[in-house]
Amino acid sequence: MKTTAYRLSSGGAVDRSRPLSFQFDGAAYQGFAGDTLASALLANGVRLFGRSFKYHRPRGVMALGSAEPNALVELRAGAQREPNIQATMAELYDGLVARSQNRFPSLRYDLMAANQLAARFFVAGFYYKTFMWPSAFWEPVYEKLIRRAAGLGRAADAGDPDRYDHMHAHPDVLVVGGGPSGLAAARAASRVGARTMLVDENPNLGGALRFERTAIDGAPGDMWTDQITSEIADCGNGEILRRTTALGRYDHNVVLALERVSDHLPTPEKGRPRQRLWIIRPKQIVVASGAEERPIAFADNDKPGVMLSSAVRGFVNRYAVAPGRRVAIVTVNDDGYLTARDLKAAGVDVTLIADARGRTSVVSAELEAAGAPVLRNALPEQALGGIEVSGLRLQNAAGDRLADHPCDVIAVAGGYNPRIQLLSQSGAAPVWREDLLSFVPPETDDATQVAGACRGVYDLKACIEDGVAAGAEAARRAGFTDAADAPRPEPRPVAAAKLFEAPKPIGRSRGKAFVDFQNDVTADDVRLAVREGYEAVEHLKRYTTLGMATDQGKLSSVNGLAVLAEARGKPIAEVGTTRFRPPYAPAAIGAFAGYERGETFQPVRRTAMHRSHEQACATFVEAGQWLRPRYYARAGEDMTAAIRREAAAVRNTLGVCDVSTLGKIDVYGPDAMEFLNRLYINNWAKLPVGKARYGVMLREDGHIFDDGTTSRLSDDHCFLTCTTANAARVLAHMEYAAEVLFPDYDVTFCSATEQWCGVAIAGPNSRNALGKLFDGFDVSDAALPFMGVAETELFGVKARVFRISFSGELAYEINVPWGAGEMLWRRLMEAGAEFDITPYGTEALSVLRIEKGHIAGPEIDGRTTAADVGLGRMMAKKDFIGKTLAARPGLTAADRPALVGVRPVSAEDRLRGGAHFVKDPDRFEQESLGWVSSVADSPNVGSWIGLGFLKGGAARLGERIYAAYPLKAEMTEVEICAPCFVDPEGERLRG
Amino acid sequence: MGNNDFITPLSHLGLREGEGVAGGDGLHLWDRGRVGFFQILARKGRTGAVATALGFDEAPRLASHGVYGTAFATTPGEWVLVCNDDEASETLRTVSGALVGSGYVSDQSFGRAAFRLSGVKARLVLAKGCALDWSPSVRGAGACAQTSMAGIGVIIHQIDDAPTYDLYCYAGFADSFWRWLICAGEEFGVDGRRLTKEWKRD
Amino acid sequence: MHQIPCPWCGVRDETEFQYQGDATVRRPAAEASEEAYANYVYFRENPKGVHIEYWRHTGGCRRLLVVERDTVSHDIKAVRFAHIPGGGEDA
Repeated sequence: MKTTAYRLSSGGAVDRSRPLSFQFDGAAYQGFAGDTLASALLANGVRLFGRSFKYHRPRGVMALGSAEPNALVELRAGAQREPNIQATMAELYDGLVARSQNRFPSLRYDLMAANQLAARFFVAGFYYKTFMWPSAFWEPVYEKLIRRAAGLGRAADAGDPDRYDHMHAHPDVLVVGGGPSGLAAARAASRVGARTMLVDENPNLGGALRFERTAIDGAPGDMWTDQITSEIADCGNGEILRRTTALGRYDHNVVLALERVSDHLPTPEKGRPRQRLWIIRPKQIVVASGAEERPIAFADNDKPGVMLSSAVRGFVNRYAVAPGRRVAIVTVNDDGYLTARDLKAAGVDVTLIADARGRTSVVSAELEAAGAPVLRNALPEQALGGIEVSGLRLQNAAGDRLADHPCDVIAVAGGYNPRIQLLSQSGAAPVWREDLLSFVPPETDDATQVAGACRGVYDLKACIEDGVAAGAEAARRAGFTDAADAPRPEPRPVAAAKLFEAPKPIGRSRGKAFVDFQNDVTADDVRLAVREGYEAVEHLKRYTTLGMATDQGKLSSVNGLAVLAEARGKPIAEVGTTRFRPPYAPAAIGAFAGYERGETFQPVRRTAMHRSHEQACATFVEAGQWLRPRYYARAGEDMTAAIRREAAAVRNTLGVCDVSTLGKIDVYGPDAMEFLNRLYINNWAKLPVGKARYGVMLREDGHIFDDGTTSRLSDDHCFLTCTTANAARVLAHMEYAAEVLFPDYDVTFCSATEQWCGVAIAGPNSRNALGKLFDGFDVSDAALPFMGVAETELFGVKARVFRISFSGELAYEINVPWGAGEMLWRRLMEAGAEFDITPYGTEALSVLRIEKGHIAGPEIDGRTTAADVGLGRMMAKKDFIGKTLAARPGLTAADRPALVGVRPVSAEDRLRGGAHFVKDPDRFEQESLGWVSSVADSPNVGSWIGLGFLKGGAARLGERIYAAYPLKAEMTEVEICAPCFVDPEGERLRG
Repeated sequence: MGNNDFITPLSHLGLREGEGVAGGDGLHLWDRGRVGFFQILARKGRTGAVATALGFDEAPRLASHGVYGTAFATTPGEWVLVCNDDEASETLRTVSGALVGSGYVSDQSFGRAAFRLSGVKARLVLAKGCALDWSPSVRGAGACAQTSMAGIGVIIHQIDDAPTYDLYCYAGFADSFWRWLICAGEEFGVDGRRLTKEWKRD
Repeated sequence: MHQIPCPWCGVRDETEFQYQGDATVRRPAAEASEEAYANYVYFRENPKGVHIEYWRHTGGCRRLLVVERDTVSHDIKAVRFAHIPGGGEDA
């Protein structure tokens, strides 16, 4: 166990009575409850956390929270391993295992750091420029190389065993950020009765207060925080979500927030999710997300030991960790002095305060008088050292070099950037304020308030006042009119030097000055991009990757824009910002998937006879959301054999197929038939009660939309079926027709798909089986002729029997209510036993319909017309949807591919759906004459057969051409035939 | 009806009518088994006549209770009428008679699954999949809504302030919806493998 | 994620709706020309600003709604039923 050499003996909010053991890169360490992985490692003197994305430069901790760009680690092991976790956000627990990323073979000796030597090749636009040619090299060579050299952590190799929850919430007021402004806002809103939800990404509320020694009304910040927190929690309207990051704000004020429910535990408690994605639809939002300190671009400003001033202060104050032994502070404002003051109080040695300003301020004068080592007009030039910081090279504003200063930490106070990401995401452009030297949120909408540091109000007292006023305003707008109106404090100009990038004296050898640490983008990269013409800010972002990935401008944005503005000779306000993208902080894909995985991935629909199919050893196929039996393999049978057996059984004796999934619609009303006349190409007016008819619907553009049968059950009630795939679309199409196109018809309808389940029984013995099934029901041809419909009772329940056939055999469809489905199946199997009744699945169904030339999905693919499939004569002389455009020249041209049958000339050849008809067998590149749409290995014909669309269609019967299938390099000689292979006269059907 | 040969949408799970699962804090989830479920369709211009004939409210979002059962105005001119299974045949007969000339009834009693979710945590279970606000200040007992949950179209009816919710979905989706509800309830102690028989028909 | 106020169901998430296109086009009479039908089926304005469009509330009441929506700000100005001319204004 290593000593915790950098842990201060007193102070901080860590619990020294609860030591926790953990591992980093295989070495064992100890921290305390209340630590983050970052603070615990710093306490152990670990400063090198990872290697950078592109150049593999050594990197350490720079920030305190979710803005951390460098200290990204792989957390946990095995299936729960998660890459790119910010060590500053990872709460320490006993047994935590973490591993550094992007290094080979080890963190300290990373061979890939040689990328730095080739750095002149890794400049902006590197990928675009380098890996252009030859294109054949891209996948096998370049991509592997890049994958090895760049990228960050490794994803887990096994499926994530944890649970990710979703939760919808509808507060009156959502407050984002639990700092002084947010807490004040949430209290103000909840106390007047508004249902208030406060989200904060940290385990403890208080925001910046947690890291400061500031007192409020004489009490420590934590006490104030606890007081306000309990007032919010106890008022009955408040809900506080800790460890919850607002990831994004979307249209109409919908906010997604990620709650890390169990990330601070070794494993989630039983039944509990690891993370929960909140989908929040608040009436009002108060954004009180605070501000982020920004770095300064100077040479080697990414070296471990260079940290934000507020972070150095925070590690000392909150975690009682000294990030180093000799701290040099670089500052443009008074913030550096606050760090010096707190470090001194904690006994940490501050050896230098380099102030970019020439003038004194009240705070700086006080500290200087107390003996602080202040150097004015002093700017950073370069961080010195090997892997870690060992000194600071200084210059004055004129670029003259000052004496090097030995130190092991450089605390950088570059000013503050309001965290405007959430407000920028929905599109409004942030506004540059020269007096604040930062962007502030754009004008907000009626449902959004911004409070505190997020709008540039930095004074603590003003932040609280601003929060109170914003919370009350939000509550009032949400309808809680008791909320008092209070004035909003205005941001006060900052007393800071304007320094984004340190001067770069000509002729001196210098290291890289980073503006984006996460993406390894330097100030020089930005200038190069401008020279190469990528001046617009959105172009710059894409060319250099500035502000991309998890950074989303948190640390990089303003410095990058300042360099861009200077290179273009324009003010920052004019170059503008890119739009920030959600998520604000990295989020696991699992959190978005939520329940959509495993058993609850997507809903499935089971038919009433599902269990019967399982018992019959069905193999299922997904048809839309439905599970349908594909085939029923018997012992020793493969799929092909099962399909052939099933298809043969239907032709030879008797088969039964579950057709419950067909869309079913009850249509009622005196105008029902007239309404259907508008929907279908055929004429329904003369359909008598007790009869069914096949019908075809077109889209208004003249192509086939769907087909099915309609049965007239009474004068004002008919029952139509549509294809399984189109059931929902057909219903919506009918609704559109009734609501908008033909609103005057007295017609109404509803889906009956699930009320009825159904089977088709088909084959020469189907009438015999039907007679045995129904007692005292006349199944004779006279009583129930082809296309006849009968309503009857079957074992005490209502049943409908339709004499319709998809297979071309003597066949019936029987519908019974859902609950009687299993019973129907069982009784049918009994009644059909003597005829060797054979259940058949969708594959055999397809074979049978192809044998008969009946069209299905592949023939109704949205590009074919009724005439194309040989049903043109069905089009009646009346108005129907699609009539006019079906008659246009393009859809009636004589050379349109039309439905034909096709069989291989050599009986052992197979056909393939998707093959193209061609003339010349010797090459694949030639004119296509049409295509093969459906194929079947037909046991009843004794060879493969197919349907297809061929230019010239019926005129080419008997011709021999070729079916080309380049994917398998097949060229098959085929004969064109009529699209019907079995019983062309239809004798079986009407038998 | 009441034939033992009939299956319910969850009978393949070994679940009988009135059986369910329980979690902590009085959370319960039951399969109510079959109920009478009718879609009532008014003819064009006859919505008021149907409402009068059957004693339904025309306004949406609140259930109306009448002699025939509980009605939800699902869309202009249409209602769903729910009654107990043992009254379903009689209800169908009388409603059909009352609607002659003004509307139609489509019997969907076999086409739906009916679940009941109850307990102080029921609202949270619902909130994991339902985007609507079921807070007491927004929706209370009597509120009903058609919406989609877990990718499944549902009718939700809050029957009391426990709160207790009746949930209706297509029979074919019952297995998926049930599994989803159990999965969502696991955080509150629901164990899908343990059945209880605590629900009594009211 | 648009929040659409359905006149029947109340405010609902856009995931419950199916977008059904321009609500200002009118189907020509049966005897109208091919050209009139081609205009009806294929040709659409693509306005920047307010667009009047159909959304079907498939996850709720199933009714077709006429929604006036700003294509830039995504603000929804008004919603009414398509089947009642001028009726059912806003939720």
